[in-house]
Amino acid sequence: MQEHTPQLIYAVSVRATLDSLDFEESLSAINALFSILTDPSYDDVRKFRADHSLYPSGTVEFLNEEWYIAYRVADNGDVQISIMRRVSDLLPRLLAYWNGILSYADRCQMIVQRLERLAVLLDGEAVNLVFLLGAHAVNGAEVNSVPE
Amino acid sequence: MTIPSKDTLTTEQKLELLRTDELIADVREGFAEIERGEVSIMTMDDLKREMNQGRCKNTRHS
Repeated sequence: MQEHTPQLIYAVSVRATLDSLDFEESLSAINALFSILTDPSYDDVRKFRADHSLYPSGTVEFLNEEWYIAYRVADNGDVQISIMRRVSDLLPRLLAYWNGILSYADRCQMIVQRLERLAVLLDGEAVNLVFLLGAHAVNGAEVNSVPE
Repeated sequence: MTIPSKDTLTTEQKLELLRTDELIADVREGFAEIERGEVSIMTMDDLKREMNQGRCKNTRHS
C-alpha cells in the first residue's frame, strides 16, 4: 500500500485569497503554508492550539507578522486550511492596540465620564478642579496611575 | 495598569486580540466548505514550485 503524502486541502475562500496576491504577498503566503505543511503540529511559538470552545476541535492557529491561518490536521495527515488572512486586513483593533490608541482613548473616555459624574455632585471651585484633572488625563497623563 | 507595546505582546496575546466572533465564524465556515468538498489541493511539490515562481496559481481544483 502506497504511503500517503500529506498535502494542503484548502477552502475555496482561501483559493480566492491566494489568487488575489501580488508577487511579494504570494511569496510570504507560500512560506507560511510551507512551514505549516512541513510541521503542522502546534509549537506555542507560531502555531497555537485553539482551545476556545467555539473553534472546531483540532483547530490550530498560525500567526506571523503577515498572516493569520487557521487549520487542522486530518486523520490521513493532510492539512486543512480553513482561512488565511493578512494580519493587516484582519482588524484595525490589533493595529490600534499596538499604537496604544484604542486602550488609551478608552481609558481617557472612562476618566472623563467618571469626572463628569463627579462634577454633577460638586459645584464652584471643585468643578473647575475636576475638569482640570480631566483635561490633564486626556492630554497625556500617566496611564499607569489611572484608577481602574 | 500598563499597556503593553507591540514589542512586549506575545504571539499568543496577539492572537487573543485578533479573535472576534466574526473571525471564529469565518474559521467555522472554512472548515464547513472543506467538509462539503469545496476545496483546492496543493501538494508539497506544488508548494516548492510556487516558491520558485512566487505564485500560487498552479493548483488543482477538485
